[in-house]
Amino acid sequence: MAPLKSSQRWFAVGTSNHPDADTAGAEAAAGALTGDEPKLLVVFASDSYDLVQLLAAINRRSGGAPLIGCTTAGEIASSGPDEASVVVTALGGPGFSCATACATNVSSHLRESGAQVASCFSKVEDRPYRTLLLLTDGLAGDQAEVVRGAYSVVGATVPLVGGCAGDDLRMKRTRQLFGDRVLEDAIVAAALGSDSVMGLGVKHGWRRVGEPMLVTSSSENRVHSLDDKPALDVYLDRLGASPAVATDPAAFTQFAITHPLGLNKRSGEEVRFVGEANFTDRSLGCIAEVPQGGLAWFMEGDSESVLEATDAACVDALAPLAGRPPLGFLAFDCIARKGVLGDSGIHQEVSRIGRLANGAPVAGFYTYGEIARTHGMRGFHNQTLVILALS
Amino acid sequence: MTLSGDWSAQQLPEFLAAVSAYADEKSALQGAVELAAEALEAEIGAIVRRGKLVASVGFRREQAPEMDLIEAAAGRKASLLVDGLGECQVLVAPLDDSQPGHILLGRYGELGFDRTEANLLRAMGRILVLTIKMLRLTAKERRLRGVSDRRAEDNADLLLQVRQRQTLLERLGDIRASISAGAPLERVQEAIVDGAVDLLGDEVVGLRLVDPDDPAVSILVAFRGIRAEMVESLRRSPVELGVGGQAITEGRLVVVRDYRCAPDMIPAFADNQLQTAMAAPLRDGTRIVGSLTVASYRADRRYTDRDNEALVALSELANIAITDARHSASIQHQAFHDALTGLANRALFMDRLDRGLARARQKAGAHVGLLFLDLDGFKAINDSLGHAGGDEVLQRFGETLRKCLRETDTAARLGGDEFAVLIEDMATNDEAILVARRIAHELSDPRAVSKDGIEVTSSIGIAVAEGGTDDAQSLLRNADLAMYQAKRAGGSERWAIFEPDMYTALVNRRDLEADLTRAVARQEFVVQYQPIIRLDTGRLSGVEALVRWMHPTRGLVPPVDFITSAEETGLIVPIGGWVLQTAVKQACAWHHRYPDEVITMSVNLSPRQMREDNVVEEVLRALSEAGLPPSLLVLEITESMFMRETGSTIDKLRRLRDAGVRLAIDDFGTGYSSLGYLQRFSVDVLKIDRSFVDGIDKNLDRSALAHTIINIGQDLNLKTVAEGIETREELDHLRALDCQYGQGYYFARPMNLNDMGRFIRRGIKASTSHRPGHLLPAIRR
Repeated sequence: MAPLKSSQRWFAVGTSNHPDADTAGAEAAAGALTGDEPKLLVVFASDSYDLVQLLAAINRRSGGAPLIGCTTAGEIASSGPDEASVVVTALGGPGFSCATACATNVSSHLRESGAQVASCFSKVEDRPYRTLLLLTDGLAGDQAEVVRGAYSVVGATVPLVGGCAGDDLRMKRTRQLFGDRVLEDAIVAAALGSDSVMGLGVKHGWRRVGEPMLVTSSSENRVHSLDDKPALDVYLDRLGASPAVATDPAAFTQFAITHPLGLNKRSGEEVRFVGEANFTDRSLGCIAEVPQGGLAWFMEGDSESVLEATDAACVDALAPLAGRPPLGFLAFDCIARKGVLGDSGIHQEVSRIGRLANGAPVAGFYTYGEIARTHGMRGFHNQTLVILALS
Repeated sequence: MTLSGDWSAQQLPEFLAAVSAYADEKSALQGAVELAAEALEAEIGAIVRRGKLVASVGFRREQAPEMDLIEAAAGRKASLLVDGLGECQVLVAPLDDSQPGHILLGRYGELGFDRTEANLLRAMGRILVLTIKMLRLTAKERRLRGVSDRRAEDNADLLLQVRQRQTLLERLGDIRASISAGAPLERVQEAIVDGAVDLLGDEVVGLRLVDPDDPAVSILVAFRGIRAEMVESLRRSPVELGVGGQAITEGRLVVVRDYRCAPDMIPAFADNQLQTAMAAPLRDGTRIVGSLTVASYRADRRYTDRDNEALVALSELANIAITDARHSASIQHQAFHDALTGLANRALFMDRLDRGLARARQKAGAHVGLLFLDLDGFKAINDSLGHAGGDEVLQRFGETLRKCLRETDTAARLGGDEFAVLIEDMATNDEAILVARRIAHELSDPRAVSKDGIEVTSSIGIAVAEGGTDDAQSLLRNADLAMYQAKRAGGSERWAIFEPDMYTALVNRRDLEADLTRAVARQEFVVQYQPIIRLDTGRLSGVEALVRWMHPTRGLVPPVDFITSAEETGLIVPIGGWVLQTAVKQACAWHHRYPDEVITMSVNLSPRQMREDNVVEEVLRALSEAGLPPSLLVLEITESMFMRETGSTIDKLRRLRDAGVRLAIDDFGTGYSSLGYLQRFSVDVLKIDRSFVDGIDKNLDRSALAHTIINIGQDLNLKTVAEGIETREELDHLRALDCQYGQGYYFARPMNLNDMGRFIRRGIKASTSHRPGHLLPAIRR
């Protein structure tokens, strides 16, 4: 896609769904590298590629410009959502500055790793508008810790944005990309400075189902009981799940994608993705912590509510631009929303994002968790759409 | 249900659990300020102790504005200008420790923090102080152990100290864990008094809480070492009584060395030679809500600093437990009660029902009764009064229910306008019937549930589990079935007791519904036609299309056996739509074949079809697709549908009339005979119900009723069609009453398309050969 250029900054997106990694990388990079002085490449790629080969092809084309990226549960570009494809975003020009960092073996010390990658912020040339882009491994423990670590370094003045890598819903292993390296159990980050304003929109589109419940027993990410009954039984019973969901782990995951848990927080509910269930001890496993003693709801969504959230996230992201046309959008869209929307719905969603981007290029992926911190300290979300608008 | 105001309630145990997990003071301080900022959605936070910044969050590393934060923590700044962020409103809470300090949060924007948030931060501050104390004790204990390992053998006192410290830590840790795990307050209170006995070694311990309903009184909620005969007199006592009372009124730690000379002594204890006492106040937020007292009969008992520390630490834990329990109680109430009516919600009701049935199983002759209630026509009430009015009716209905029940019964709102009542420990079924009657009686006063005096009735289903044999779900289902039966039966006292055949009927109905669904998919329906005859000439005037179900095993099923189910399941919509299209197409075929004849096609339109948003478009599309002039289509609508007219029904009927479609009222005379609507809707045809026609020649009443209807028709210029004419005598009688049209077995039964075609051909032939009247007996079947 042709780059949208302001006098000082450009942002372009290239895609390819060619099955060969070398060809796909070259095609997508060629589509993205259309301006001078590329400052950063962001790669969202299907896990099905030979990622080393893919990166080599992209880097050959870019001449080794800083690169971060990750594997996905589906890729997003202006041309529509795709699977088994690669989306390369390039941004550059004298109006942008960038510094990247990565941390590995993060699962044993998530917070420190969040802080470690955020320290690249001190290396970025100072600009009036800044953000820290984080791509993490959602299967490596409570990602709120990564956000806390990053926040402890950059403070309240810098928005945090990003998402957790995917592996096409296999929930086994996700990978992070840094330069020419393919990493696991890692965090990659880019500190981005710009002469022009950036906007961040965050919306989920889920609504509460039924009465609230007390989380009567939980430990970290596991919920053992709700209203003093085994959490899995309450979940299946209240949501009227089919018998297959109650016995088959794959069917359960499929069902759970569209039925998250909502926790009571000051400004509304915080959504928790239910990742799996233990059919023996009847507990539920979530992607982030569910504290004991709190109130919780089951939640559900439909195409309409999810698409309304899409529009609202785009509008929120555009608001700080105050009418200035966006240069491009980065979208971090939860895999659960894809589950609700279905194949035709996600096409509709992506075309809506494209329309609201006013023709500016869009790149993104379906995530296992989203990062967006604009106010307060919390910045890790589940089942949410995060839009970063650059101008 | 709005619960967002209670978001703060769950934060404390969460905070306690998280802060307790830190291993050293420095990380606890840093962790606490971050957790507090997260919970209160603040961007920045800081802890200042002894005038120094010891922890902060929200600033770039090493860039926290130390001086500004210290100023703000000391209360000298209400807001802070944070570089790159802007003006932040500040909230400060004290950390009452041996080292004076404050915890501070800052939130970007103009809106400051509210009272709930201030209380929450204060409570978090107390938890933090307690945690730090415990961490210091642990550190001290570690140090001592290090020394004692070397010198234990020659220093028995040191060894004792180590052991005491260890006990204190273990005790406090146990109590803290039980609070974090959400143990009931009673259990935590018991753990605290046990902890006091263990840690301080005193013989007497008392935990008193101020009575929330009477602040002048305190209640002894947990105790050790108080003799039974004294407990009764101390159970409720004036709030200022004793050393504990002094701690409550003065809000400080009180230590009495010589109990018998103390001004606040309790004579009974003094008489028993109590020597010393010490009491600490207990707080919920900033309010003092009780005291924890220890006392000893030993003459040599002296309270040391370590004893003071232990009592304060225990009272801090009690504070957290009390604050948490009060929040939890409020959450618990809201989680298990319906916000609108305050009655139990479904979850609580099912739980009580489960337990009630379990109890009944263990007690011979105990029955459990369940009433299932719903408000008749609540949707219409809601439509006419608006949602606020509807809510008020539900609230008042809830109050009415409560009034009709004993303390031990449970009333619940299950959702929407569905309510349930659980009656435990019944000796006979009559008790449930009595309650149902009482409710019906209360409702008979229109002002009971509506200030506008709108009459509201409820249908009540009763199910009884004798000896708790049923499970909760089936008992609820049975009561629901009985309620359904009561509603169907109507009448003034709408209640019914569950009978097993209701269940059989339900199963049959479900089978029928499943069958019907299949039938729609397989297109097993056929249309039959019955002629409508002009009674004065005997000529064919029109045809009524009637649906029949060609069941693969049961053969031709008459409508009476399936229309109600189709209506209830909504399957009538596709079925009725198909009948309409088929009939309209056929009418058009006859219209083209016999262009000189006017043969109308009557098609029934069910209430459910009428409720469909696009019903008018469907009818008009069927007409235009077939090419039938709208005036040849007569839509038959039941009288009851007019009675339930709503704005949208009126509008749909008008649009149909405006398009030229004609309207007939089916079964006229069976509903409420309000005639106003006949004019309002400008209908074209009245169909006299078959119940008035049957034996009309022999029954004066029926004749008079039919005559009235015919007169009304004439006055309003409407056609009248008599249904169900079966004999020559009935026909003659109706002719004499000037009824214009008729249909029934006397002329012809409903017949298939070919037979109807032949009927029309013969009729036309007969009429063109100028032999009117001869036609009729000839084709009679």
